[in-house]
Amino acid sequence: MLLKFTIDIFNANLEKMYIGAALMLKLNKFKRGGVHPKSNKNITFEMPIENAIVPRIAKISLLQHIGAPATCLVKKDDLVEEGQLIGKAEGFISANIHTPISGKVVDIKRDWTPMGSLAETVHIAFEGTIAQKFVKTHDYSSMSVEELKTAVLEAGIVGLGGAMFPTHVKLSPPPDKKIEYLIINGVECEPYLTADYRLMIEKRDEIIQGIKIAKKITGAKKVLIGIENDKMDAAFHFDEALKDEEDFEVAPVKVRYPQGGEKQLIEALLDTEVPAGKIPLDINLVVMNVGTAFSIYEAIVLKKPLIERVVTITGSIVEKPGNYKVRIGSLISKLLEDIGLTKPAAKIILGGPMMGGAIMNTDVPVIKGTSGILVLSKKEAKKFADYHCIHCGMCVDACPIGLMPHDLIENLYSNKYEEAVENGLMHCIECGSCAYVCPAKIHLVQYFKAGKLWHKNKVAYTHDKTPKIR
Amino acid sequence: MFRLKKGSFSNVDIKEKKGKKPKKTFDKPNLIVSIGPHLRSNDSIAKIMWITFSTLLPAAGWSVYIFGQRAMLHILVAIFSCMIVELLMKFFRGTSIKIWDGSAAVTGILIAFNMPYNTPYFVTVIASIVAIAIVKEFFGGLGTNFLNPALVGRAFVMFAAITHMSNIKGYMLPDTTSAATSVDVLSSATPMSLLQYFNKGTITGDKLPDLFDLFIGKTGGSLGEISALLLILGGLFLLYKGYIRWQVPVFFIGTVFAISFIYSLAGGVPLIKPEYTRLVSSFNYSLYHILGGGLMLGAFFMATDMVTTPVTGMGNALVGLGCGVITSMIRIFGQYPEGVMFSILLMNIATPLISKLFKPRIYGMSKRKAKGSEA
Ligand code: SF4
Ligand code: SF4
Repeated sequence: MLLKFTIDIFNANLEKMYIGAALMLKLNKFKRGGVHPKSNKNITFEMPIENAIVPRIAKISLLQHIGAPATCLVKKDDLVEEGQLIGKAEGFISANIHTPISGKVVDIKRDWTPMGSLAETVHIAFEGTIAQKFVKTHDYSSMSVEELKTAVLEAGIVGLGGAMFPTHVKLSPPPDKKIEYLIINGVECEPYLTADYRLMIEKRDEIIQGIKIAKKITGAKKVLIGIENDKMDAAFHFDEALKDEEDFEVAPVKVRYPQGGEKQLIEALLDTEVPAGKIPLDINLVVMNVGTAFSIYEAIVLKKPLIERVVTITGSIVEKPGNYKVRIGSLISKLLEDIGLTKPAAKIILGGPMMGGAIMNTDVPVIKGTSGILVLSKKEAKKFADYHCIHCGMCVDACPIGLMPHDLIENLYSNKYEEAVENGLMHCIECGSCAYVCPAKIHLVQYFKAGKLWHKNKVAYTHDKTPKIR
Repeated sequence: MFRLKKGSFSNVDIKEKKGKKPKKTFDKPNLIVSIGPHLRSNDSIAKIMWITFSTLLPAAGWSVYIFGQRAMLHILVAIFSCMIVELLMKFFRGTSIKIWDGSAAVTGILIAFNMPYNTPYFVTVIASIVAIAIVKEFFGGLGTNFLNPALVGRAFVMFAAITHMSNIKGYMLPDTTSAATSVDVLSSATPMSLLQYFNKGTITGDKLPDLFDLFIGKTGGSLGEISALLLILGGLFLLYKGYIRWQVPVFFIGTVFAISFIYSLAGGVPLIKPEYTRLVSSFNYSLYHILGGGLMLGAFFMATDMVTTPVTGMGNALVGLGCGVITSMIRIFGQYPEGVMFSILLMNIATPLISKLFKPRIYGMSKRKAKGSEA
């Protein structure tokens, strides 16, 4: 009985297994370093995307992207409508901000962003109903590249993988550049997060349309879709739809953190490196997240600005973990109240556990770059006392960039910032692989961030000026 | 740095007043705030050290089986004196107590392993004091010592207490508890000194111990070094766990093997047995070199010490190579029958230089140069 069952499953999946095995042999990964943390994605792997509650109060920060904050277009007591522009992009590297709900502007003040800084924030109290506004599809085939680009700019789309770089900037290469590859990042290497995966499974055709629009805008010759091999079903799913398309290629990559980093993905897929101090555009590449591709689709086909995104809300103490479609501006506290916790939270992380930031205040809003909300219990949120570095070299092996983290930390302990910069501090992508493996549990990334801030602002972010002696 | 106090703050309210800085009011502290990564691997220094310690235990057991209760006492004395000295030093230096991280225990067991069976216990205690107090704690504790503590302790007593360490007949007390008392393990010279006599032509090849005995450890020598087999097994486990790098043992043992093989092939030593051809004899001769003496102990457990070796694979290969060359040179041409200890200490000193030599290339740079560049 059991045997028959096994054989049935085996037969049913034979083709997939065969292709999987064949792919496995020639799977790409970035060449150096990386770690393999426990993925914990199974908590929300099977959870279809659901709508989260509509916020009663939305706090919409005017700084949800890299670059200059948007200029506020509304006043207190104004009535706004769902999808209305309330913040206008200030300059080229900036992005528009729209309101996710209809209602009344109750306050405009400086408030906390999830990144732990203060920014101008519009508070909107929900009034009226949720209208099914953005369901009609529009034909975009007659639109010119310029029009498409403007539409992307107007929708306020930023990179949804976490970097929050304005997408229209990425899509506007100088006219003399011939874009070779458009790389779609469906890697999602961060543990716990499954938002991109679910999106790929459920909205495949929409994403492909978004990719096609992006391809048209950039004029890329070829599209590569990088997907990690723990999400092979998503890869097959895409492969099915793109079988006949010559310029599209689904490229499974081996599970390895930080495969989803832009530079690492390029290294894995194309075996080239982005020269130091350059961006992918300089070597004729554009890298884009699948979530971003989906929002391009929404912006152009549905004419819907970026007002909601898929967020994985997960953790062992979350009552109903899952992938939720959350309106930007919803408060974390209200979301968690609705979804429920079985135990008091000890740490709440926005984004993945490797690169995400812990928040100290749950009354901060979800922003465009929030890919996940991870709630850790007291047991999981261990605090580590750091030892002195024992020169084991595990961090050197783990660094995908080829830095020597133990050397940098030695420099930073003794406040020798210039030396650290000379040793390559500014090349660090803050992926956290080094701190993950370090047996001495040194808070490496924390020091690197402080050192980088010093380099930018020339202010030492240390309390003690003396070298740290354990 | 941003040292975090217990817990952190939530529900921060900003009350902005005209012309005043925002005032922060903090509610009850309940959320932990820290900079990522929020996941850490399971490895810790204590885990690495205790696993290293336990991989040395089989060899320790074998040593007790061969040498009897004296070996056991040596090992215990060394471990406890190391831990106590570390405790005292922490007390004097005013640092937190970290003796349970196991590094003192590893140093202790390694010191004992390097002691000949007939050493008086006080010599072991002195070696432990030198190792922990001077080599490790004076330089700032685990992580900042630039020499392997156990080896310096052993080197110190080797010269300072030379009459107690060499194989003088008067110290050859027959040990009635030993399983091997009747065998001439205790009274014969160590394999390495026999090999040296053989090099010099004083004895012929048939006086050398049996190779298989050498491999499983039925010959004389320091307490821990006798059983090559158990040391290799322990070392392989460490390799499997990823706590030591393969480059060191491979290059160390490989170099020693190659040099002694070439030396013998070139006619540097007589044939081991008259009926052997030159090739077979050379092969046997190199086997004596890699199985005898402290090579296995040194290559797997001491030259691989994380603190005192370079951090890159290439650097470790160079260390292994250097250790191998120096060891062979001392053994073949030097006055001392054994050179593992000196070779490792010398390469320890060269480690900072080697570390500078092999730096990985930074992503996106044609060569290792990061000056003035912005990422
Ligand atoms: S955080 Fe920086 S130094 Fe550490 S592994 Fe990542 S890139 Fe390397
Ligand atoms: S992993 Fe930690 S202990 Fe090991 S060399 Fe790097 S910083 Fe030092």
